[in-house]
Amino acid sequence: MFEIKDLHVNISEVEKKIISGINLKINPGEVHAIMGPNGSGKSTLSYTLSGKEGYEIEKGDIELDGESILDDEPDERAAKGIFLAFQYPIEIPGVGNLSFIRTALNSQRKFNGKDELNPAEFLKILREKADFLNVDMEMLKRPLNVGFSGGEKKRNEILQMALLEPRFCILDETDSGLDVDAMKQVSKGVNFLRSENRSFLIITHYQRLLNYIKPDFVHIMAKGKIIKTGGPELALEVENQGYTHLLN
Amino acid sequence: MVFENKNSHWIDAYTRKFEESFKSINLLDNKKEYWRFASPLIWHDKLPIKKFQETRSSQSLKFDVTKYSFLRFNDGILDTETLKKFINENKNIEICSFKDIFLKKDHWSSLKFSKAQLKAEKSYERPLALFNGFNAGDGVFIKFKKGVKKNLHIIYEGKNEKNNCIRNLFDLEENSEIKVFEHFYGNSKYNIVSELFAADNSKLEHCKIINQDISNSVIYHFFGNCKKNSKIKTVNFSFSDNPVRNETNLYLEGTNCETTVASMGFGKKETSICDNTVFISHQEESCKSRQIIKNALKNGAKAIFQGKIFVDSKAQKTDGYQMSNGLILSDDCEFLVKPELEIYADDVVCSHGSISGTLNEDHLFYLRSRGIPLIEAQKKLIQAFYSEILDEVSEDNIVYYIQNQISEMITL
Amino acid sequence: MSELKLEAKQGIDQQTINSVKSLGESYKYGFTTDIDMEYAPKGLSEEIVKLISKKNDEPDWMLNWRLEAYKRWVKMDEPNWPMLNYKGIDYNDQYYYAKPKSLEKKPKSLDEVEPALLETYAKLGIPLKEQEFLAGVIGAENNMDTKPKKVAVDAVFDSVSVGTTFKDELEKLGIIFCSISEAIKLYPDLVKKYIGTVVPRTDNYFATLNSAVFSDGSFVYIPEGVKCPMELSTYFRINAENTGQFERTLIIADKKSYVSYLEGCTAPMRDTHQLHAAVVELVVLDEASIKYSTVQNWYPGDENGKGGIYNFVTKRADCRGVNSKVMWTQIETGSAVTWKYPSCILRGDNSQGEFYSVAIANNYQQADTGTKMIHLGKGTRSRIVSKGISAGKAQNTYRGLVNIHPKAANSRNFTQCDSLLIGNKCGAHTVPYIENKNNSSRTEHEATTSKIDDDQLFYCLQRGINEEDAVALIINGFCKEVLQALPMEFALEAQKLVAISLEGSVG
Repeated sequence: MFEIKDLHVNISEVEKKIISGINLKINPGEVHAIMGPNGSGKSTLSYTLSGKEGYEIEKGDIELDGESILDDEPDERAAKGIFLAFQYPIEIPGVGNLSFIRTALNSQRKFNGKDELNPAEFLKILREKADFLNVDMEMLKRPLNVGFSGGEKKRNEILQMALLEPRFCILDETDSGLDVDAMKQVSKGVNFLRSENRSFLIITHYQRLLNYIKPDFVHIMAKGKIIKTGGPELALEVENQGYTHLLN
Repeated sequence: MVFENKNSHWIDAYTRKFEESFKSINLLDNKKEYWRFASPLIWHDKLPIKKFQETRSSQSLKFDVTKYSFLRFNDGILDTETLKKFINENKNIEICSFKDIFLKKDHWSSLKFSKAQLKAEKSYERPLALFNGFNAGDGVFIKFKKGVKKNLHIIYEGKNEKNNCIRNLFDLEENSEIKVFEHFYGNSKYNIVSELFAADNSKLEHCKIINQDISNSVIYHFFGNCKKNSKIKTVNFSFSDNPVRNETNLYLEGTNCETTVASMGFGKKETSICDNTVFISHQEESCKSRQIIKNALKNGAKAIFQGKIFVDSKAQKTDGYQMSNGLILSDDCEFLVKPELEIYADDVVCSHGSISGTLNEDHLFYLRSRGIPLIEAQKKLIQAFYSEILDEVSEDNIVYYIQNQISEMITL
Repeated sequence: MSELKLEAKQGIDQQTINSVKSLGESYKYGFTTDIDMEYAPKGLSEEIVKLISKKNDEPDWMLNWRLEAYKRWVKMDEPNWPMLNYKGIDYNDQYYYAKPKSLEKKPKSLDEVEPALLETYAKLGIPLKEQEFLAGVIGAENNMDTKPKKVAVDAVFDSVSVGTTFKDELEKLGIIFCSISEAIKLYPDLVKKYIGTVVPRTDNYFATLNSAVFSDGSFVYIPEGVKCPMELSTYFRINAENTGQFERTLIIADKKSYVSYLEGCTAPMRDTHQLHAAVVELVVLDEASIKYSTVQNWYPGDENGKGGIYNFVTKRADCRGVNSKVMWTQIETGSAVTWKYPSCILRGDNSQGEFYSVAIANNYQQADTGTKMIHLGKGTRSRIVSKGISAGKAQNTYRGLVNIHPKAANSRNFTQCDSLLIGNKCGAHTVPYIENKNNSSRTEHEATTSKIDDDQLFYCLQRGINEEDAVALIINGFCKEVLQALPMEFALEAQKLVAISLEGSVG
């Protein structure tokens, strides 16, 4: 179980408070969506959960199975099963995609006391998942995200998610910059990964992604707080009426 | 041919000239631009030569002996066994040790000898190349005849406590395709001058590795004259804890030449100074030149890059590029660069860039967010930093060798 | 490269087209004012230094300061490292002091100034009457802010200040804006405290020469917390023949103050070279900022390289205070030889230095110019944008230093320097020195050299613009980032100047 308790976050560099008191409990198997206008603190939340530097927690806690993860480094959080699909996956020239994914997988296995996979074992699993997600093996030989199209970058994120098999997945505006076909493909991957042990937090500005990935709960976030919670129908309400009426 | 009397050799005139020029230079003058960042004395006689110490033996670089011919220098002297073997195996290559040239009245090299160096000395004097000019004890002079393809591996090894001055000359005739790998191990101190004459359509891939266990300084001048359609690449790897200066001077004297100068250095001690000084002179139209310099630095190491692209007013349609990157991994390191453009033709595209700083925080976070621990992530990014240089090397076993050297050295 | 192209295209707008179309003659400031002058004897000696000091009625400490500089200078050598090739200067064949006779007694107000002098400035377009610029008149299309703008002017004619406008209004705010010769008399404590602390007397050959013989210049003091409500500007005019101009400017921005300062320079067309060796010192205290803009249009010599000003200038800002800021903007179109490196010493933590430069060299002009950014404090930032244009037989060099000291943690530098070549008899050179000695600091440097983009040129020609105008348009686009950094009142003037300087360079 993943739990956010009265979380208050400042961005150190600008000394500005971005998140002011969020409470959220996510049980295994649940899919939660967070929607909100630009600047409501959605991306800050995803970076804070995954442990990026520069996000100062003023108050509150983040717990995984009842244990605080605040002192964990980003890689330790990842190894414990927290995965962030980035809104803008970064390009890293010189780092091969394949070798990167293998290093990540083996680092996590090592952390969790499992044997590392040899290259052959790794390739076998990779091929399987890549085929299913329509990821070209050619793409895996290129440097990490370098020169990838928007759709390729997002598919690469989902592929990593499929291989690393996290327990808690955060999807930060995964739909941004995708056309309908690309969005369908990405959603297919996410839906395939839904299971009773795995939970999702989907951060999005628009309702349309939620047509493909059905959430159990929808939260509306504004000015660093969750201002309303409901079922999928809340997303439709936003789609039809915008955020303004909820903000007042 | 310069023949003054029976006892003098044609080389003597050059030797005298080099000596005179050297003596006219005040090495203590610290205002000279040419050694703005590091005095030539560092490579000359300022540092006492360290005694040989048995260090952990370097991994040796394995080459497919069927693909490569070998030459070896022991304590600065060309090993006669390897030379004999080379002569037997390669009938279409003329080779002679520098020492033996003095025994010959006449030699093909007399038409080329020092021509490339003297051309470069006109723009500014290079004292230690001049010093080499009257102190060289041995070296190898090779003429690759028309159309010859050859891979050559030269090893420099030694334990002596001298300043080993070595002088090489590579003459590439039309359409020859040559790879030269030079590898430095062991103790000795080196002052090397290699001259290159690349005829029309010739091709050279030159790669130099200076190992970590080299316990004294190395200065290496590479002077090249490149003719029409030649393709010259020189790639330098330096892992030394001691001062290394790679000085590359290429004159593009024919149209459509392509040259690449790539250098990587990894300095991890205060005593490590990696100096890359590059001068590319575009003399004719439609030539292309690239310089890529990458230095990672820690524990007070220092890296220097002085690079110049010179474009003569005749050299229209020049494409010149120069990039220097410094990765500063700890306090007290210095990355000092002077990337210069001097351009007298208008129809050119020349650019340079220089970036220095530490590892990119966003890159680190992305790797860590996937579960890769900090140190592993740092290693990966350091290797990525160098990947552009490794891409220049066509020989896979060199690439693996360098990769291993890097990962051995990155113990953050 | 592609970004650059895009920007250059974006840079061409109607305003530029209009301004280029309304170009005047080549060097329109080349006239001579016929006026009775008083000269000190030709040549340089201790006696001359004493004479200049006496003419300015200076206290002993100032005279001694000059004499020490002179003694030092005699032992120094002219620098030979710049990429400049000019005939040696005969320092004994110059006048070091020239003053209109009518200024023997300093006029009490501008009304007392000789009409010929006032006319000179009127002809140059310099407002010596206390008038308001209507911002609406200049660059109206871009300027939404149509409030009248005031510009206070200190006019320096050869060796002396003619007069300073808006003095009273500025005095009410505690701002001191006067000639430096006045300041030495009226505010000796301030001058004593700061002069030579940014550019020491021993700094370099030309600065030392200036320290010995400077005759006038401007002095500005902005008190704590004051934002200077108008542009301050100094207008330098060399008129007399064979006369060097050696002005010295000192600006002090006290804590939390702000000032924008502009200097302009012109000279008559003369066959002989004239020497200009100025020193500018800026002192910036905590949270203060100074914006210093220069439009340098000294006579560049004729198309055969005859005549023109030798311009050797030392400009430096010392950001002493935390969060202090300096912005240098320079449009260098004039002079036969330019040697100039406005610099920032970023001493205070989080201080910032910026340098925006356009340097145009045409005909036989030679420019070796750039900046130095010395990062000493923590969290310091610097930004350099340099645009060099070479045409005719000119040589144009960017020379810059970025130095990040080991203690300057978390500092940043960004440098962009681009060069354009017009024709194949000129040269464009880039000589940056980048020295990063701190592992938490970052430097980034980019430079390109190319000719005018054929596609851009064709686009303009296809729209019916002739080649010369088209080149001017594209160049203005190329320089836009720098021109925009100028105060609005001068941006359009500078744009015109860019076009004029390149006249005759095409075809």
